[in-house]
Amino acid sequence: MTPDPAEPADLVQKLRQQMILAQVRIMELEDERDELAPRAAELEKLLGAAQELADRKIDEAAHLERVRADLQAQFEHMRHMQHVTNEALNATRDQLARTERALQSAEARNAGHEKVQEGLLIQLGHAQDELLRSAAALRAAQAEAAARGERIAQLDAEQRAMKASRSWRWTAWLRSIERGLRGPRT
Amino acid sequence: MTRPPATGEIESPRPLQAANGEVNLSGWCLCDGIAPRAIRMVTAAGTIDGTIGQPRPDLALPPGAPAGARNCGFSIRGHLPPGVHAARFEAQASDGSWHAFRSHTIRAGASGLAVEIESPDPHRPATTRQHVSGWALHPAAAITGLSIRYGHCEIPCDAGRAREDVPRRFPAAPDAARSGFQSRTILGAGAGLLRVRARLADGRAVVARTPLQVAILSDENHRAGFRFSGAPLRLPRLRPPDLPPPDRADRPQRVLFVLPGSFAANNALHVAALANELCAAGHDCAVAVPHDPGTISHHDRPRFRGLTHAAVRADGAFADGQAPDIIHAWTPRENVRQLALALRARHGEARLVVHLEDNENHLLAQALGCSTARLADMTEKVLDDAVSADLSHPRRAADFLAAADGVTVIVDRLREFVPKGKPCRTLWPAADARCFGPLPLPAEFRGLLDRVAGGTVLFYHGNVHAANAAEMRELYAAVARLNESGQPTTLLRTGLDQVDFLGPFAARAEPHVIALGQILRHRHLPALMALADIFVQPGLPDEFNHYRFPSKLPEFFALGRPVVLPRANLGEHVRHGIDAYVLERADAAGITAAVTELRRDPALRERLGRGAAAFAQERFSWRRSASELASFYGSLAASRP
Repeated sequence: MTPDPAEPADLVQKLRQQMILAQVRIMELEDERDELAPRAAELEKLLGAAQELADRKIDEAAHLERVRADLQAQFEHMRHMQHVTNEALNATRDQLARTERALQSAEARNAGHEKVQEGLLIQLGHAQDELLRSAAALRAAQAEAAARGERIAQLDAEQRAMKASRSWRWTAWLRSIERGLRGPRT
Repeated sequence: MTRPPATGEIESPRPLQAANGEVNLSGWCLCDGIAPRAIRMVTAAGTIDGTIGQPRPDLALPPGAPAGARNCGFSIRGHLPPGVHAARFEAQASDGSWHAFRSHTIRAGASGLAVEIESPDPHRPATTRQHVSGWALHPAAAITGLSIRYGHCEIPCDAGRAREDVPRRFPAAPDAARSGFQSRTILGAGAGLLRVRARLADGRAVVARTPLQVAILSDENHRAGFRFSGAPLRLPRLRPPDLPPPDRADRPQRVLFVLPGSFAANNALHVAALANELCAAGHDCAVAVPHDPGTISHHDRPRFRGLTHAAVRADGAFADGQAPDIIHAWTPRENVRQLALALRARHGEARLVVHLEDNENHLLAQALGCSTARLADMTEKVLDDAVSADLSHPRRAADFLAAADGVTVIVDRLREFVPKGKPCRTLWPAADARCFGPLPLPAEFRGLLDRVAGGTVLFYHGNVHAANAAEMRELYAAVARLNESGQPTTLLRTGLDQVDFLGPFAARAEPHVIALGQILRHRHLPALMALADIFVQPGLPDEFNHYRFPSKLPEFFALGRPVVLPRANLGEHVRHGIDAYVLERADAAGITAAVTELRRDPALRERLGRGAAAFAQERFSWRRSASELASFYGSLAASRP
């Protein structure tokens, strides 16, 4: 509708014109309403969806805040535990240091004993040499003893052979007289 | 996870809203297992305290919960400025500390005009004449003027009266203390729901409804018995028919229509209707205009893309630079011809179709003030200088038609301009079936419109320009003659007068003409056309009318009223006395005689009205025209070498 179509001079004519133009205006407004209504509904829907999304995000943020607070508490606890552990570690370190120092002191003391130990070792060496020599003498003595043992065994065998001979048995009576003559042994 | 000290729920519908800024929320809350001491809503705009202690027997509380826990229901009422607010809901524990238990967004309405009528009682109809008082406040802007409205009445109010109670309700509003008002006069005769209209300091006007129903039956200017609450008269509008969708195209095509004028021109109605139907069938359509692309808003729900000639030259008409399959030049006028040829040179595969809707040589001769015969004698140089972009150059247009792959014409006679052997299709225009159809005469409205009983209303929509000025003068002369002969006749006119076609005759004709100016939206015309008894298309069977098809004719026929028209163009296809009233010459004398006969013969009026509607139903259809056009395009594409 043009804003100002030719204005009739006659008032009744003007009224008729305006009556019709008012109808045109009503149709225009109805059209605008009909065009705007779905757009407004769409915008309303969109805004509602955005608001719901924002609400969900707010809920998520609140949840995350609670999670963060929990994690913060856990973190504080861990820090405390770390502190306690550090304290214990430091005490252990001190203890270790003291032990190390004691060890060093003991080592220093050990160094004086080493000379004595060397003398003892020399003596031990000598003793071992002596022992070796004694062992060798022992082995020689053992060999001699073995040799003598064999001789004893040989002699014993000879004796048993002799005593088993007829001549020994036949002459038993002579030896008995002899033992009687000699008297009892002391 | 640690357990929050306060838990609760806002039970008002989500998302939370504050209509007109008025907050009204409810819910429940427990703080350390019992009802909190207090509740509040905190936003950046301020804090609104709630009311706690409402019994909530419906809630499932844990066993052993203290008795006080049952009274954990709350409500929050207050005001928020327009906008979306982040709101935090907090509960106060027994030790006085505050704990948030919910956070939400809340949307406050934009109107923001808060109004309360205190006198008279807003909940009972106001039937006695008295002042209206109350308070009105806009929390975001100062009120510079206030009035109350009901029915046809508007009464200014004195605003700025002191109020002590309103600031408590709107602590953030600086004007709350002076928000009282009273109407300057007592209520006058009128009926309707009372609204309060405020003019704000920022220039806006806002309106708030109230529950007060005014029903004052009389006053010093209105006698008792006057109907204030009668239903307003309305012009009829066609309920859009529920048309089935068209058949889908087997081979969708990209069609570019090139128009010589804006979307406000008559031929744009044709192109828009065809393009809409083609799009509905699955084709892709674009329409290019040389100027005023915004006039596409005059069309109802266009399915096609509208753009300018310059945009098409620069960027093409279709997505991703795709070439058109069809370039349909709507007339051979210079601005159309130049763009169409440039596009065809760019897109060699595209088919070029030229549409003829007028005797272009006649239009050019009219514009140059000479005869069409004289055009043939003009030199190339003279024509080059004389032919503007919106006119057709006689020789170049002929070459253009020769270069086209096909031609469409609005009436068969235009085939005289089509080179021999060139594929050609006749496309009759139609009326937009969504809004043009048989409409009843709004008798009550006509009763107000007619100066005397038994008057006749003629209707004509369209501009008056050099080409039709003479025949429009005949129409006006006929109206004057009818009235002078004692036959009260009114001509309803829409459209612009681009030339002074009446001269001294205006004084005789204009008292009988109601000029409504240009109706921007074509879809509003049918309601106005329904006021008419008879439609008249003036004109003579001449070299102008033989080669045109007035686009208003299908709309005349669609309304189901008698149509008076000359024996030219459509007049050669309708049966006199059956489909329409056909005049050999639709001049002042012919029109006067036809209208006189129709006024005297109601049976003839009735028969011609039915005949017109039947003819429209049978012969005018944009869907059929578009289908034929699509098949024409298809045949041109198939003939591609």
